Amino acid sequence: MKRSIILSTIFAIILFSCKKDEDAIEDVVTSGPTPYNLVIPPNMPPMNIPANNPMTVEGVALGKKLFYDPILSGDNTQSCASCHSANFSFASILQFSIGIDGMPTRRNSMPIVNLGWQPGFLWDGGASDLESQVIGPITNPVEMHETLENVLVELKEHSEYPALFKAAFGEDEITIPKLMKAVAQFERTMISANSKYDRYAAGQESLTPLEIQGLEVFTDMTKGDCNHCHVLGSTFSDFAYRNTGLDSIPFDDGRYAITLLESDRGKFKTPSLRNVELTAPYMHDGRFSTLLECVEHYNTGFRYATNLDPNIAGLPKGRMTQQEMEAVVAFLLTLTDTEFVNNPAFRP
Amino acid sequence: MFNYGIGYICYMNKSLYLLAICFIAIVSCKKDEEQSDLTTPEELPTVRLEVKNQIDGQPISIGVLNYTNPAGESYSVDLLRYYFSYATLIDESNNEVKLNDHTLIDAFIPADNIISNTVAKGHYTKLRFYIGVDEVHNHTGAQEGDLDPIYGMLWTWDTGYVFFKHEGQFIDADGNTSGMSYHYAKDNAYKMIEIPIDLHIESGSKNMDVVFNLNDLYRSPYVIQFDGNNYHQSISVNDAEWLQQMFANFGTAFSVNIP
Repeated sequence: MKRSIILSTIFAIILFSCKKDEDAIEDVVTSGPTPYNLVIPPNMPPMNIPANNPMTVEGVALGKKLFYDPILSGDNTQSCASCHSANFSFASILQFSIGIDGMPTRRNSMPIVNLGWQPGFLWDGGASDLESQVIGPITNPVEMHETLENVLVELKEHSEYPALFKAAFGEDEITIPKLMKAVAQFERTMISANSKYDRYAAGQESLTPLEIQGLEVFTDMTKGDCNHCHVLGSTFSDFAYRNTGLDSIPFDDGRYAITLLESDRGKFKTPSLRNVELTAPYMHDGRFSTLLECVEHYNTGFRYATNLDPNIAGLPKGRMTQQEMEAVVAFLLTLTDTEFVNNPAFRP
Repeated sequence: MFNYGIGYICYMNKSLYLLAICFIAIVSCKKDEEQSDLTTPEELPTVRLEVKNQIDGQPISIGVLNYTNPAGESYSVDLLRYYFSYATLIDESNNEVKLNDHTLIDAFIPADNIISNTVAKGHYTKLRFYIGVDEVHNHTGAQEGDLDPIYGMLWTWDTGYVFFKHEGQFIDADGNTSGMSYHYAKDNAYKMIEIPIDLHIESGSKNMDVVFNLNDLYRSPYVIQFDGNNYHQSISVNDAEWLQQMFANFGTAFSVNIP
């Protein structure tokens, strides 16, 4: 009895003196967003997630809704998914996408896959983080052609978004930085690491003799030498910027427009090869419609631009036979991850 | 947290009770204590810094071709915005008091151009501030407050803030009215400005005006003429000379007035 009195006294004292703390804890438990458990596949490196944008279940769900919502475009007809379709690994089959005003984009729509590991965004790396990339297409006159002011007005007047933003960020006010963070959170969940090649590398599936030959040509530094830039394994790119000799004098300044370094003229980001089967047409200007054309470009088609990547410039033309090029293509097709493109978590 | 504490107490003898209670009370209430510290300030004096924009002593009105730049061209101001960052008072012993982080100054929204903060008593002899956004904050747009992209100062295709914008019209050599647009940006354009001051702060609040004269930005050491030079976005090698002139001129465009 004595003990229980002491205990309840202690209890009361602590309860009383710590009321403020307790309230704070309850707030977090009852109304805070739920941390999102991002599962990184064993064959992928750790992902750096910005400290100011921790992933939450509510944030990812909001980001997905925004990604598929035409409310973000000027006339509410196009969403991010209009040019980043799940069927094509979130790229477009068009050489240049057509924005809401019927104007074509300047470059080919890039796939959205494993962006959580990329250091720079857009073909020229102009967007320096995933969050910042989000508002580029929304405001670009040849894409979704909307103002950030209008986006905010429409989201604030919407029947669902105010509650969804509050659930994701715990604050009443909808802001552009929160929109950017939500879409980036969704995009960080879009991980592809279960292609036939991944299962082969894990010892779970075998490749055909042609695919094996293609893998060998891919890594052979005297043949394909693809591996130099499209690093075999996790991300299939080192994401560096290169002039790959598409033209002797580039039509598009590429990375130069960002750095103003003459040495960056005509350089573009090395894209990942994951799901490359689905992302035609190819190159920053979508000039090639087949993978064989791409391989052929690196075999014989490349031009000696002044800043042609040294990895290409050092290789003789015509070093691969037609059969070897076809083998490389067969290998590239093993990078298709149907589980990824069919994942309902990424579809509307 | 204290639920665990109670549970453990049941297994302890009485003498440990008190220790445990003290420990729990101290640890679990740490936050309260800190808060109570904050709520008992020693009435620090306040500095109220106001950034005032003018053109050779005249107030700036929007959209009128009323002003004459040092090159003798009539011009107007439709938009005048810039980042005024890390304003810091420095005293005789080089102690520093930072007053703000990044404040977006808008010539036509004077109420937003006021920075208030508490400072220690003392004799402050220098004001330091920056025009622009420091490199750490200049390459992501996911920032709230005055760095929110909603203010139209963030480039979306080359992540970075425009540090300073003046858009308007001017009358060119042929007498025609033309548009002009100066967007000053990029990491190496981030400009530190230090101005000697004589600010004695004893108690209560003290006002300090930082005066920006737009014409000084186009006067010294370089006279910047708009004709043939009316469109600079800091994105081309053709902007390099203009950027360098603006960078130098910013150093002469501000003065401090302590009423």
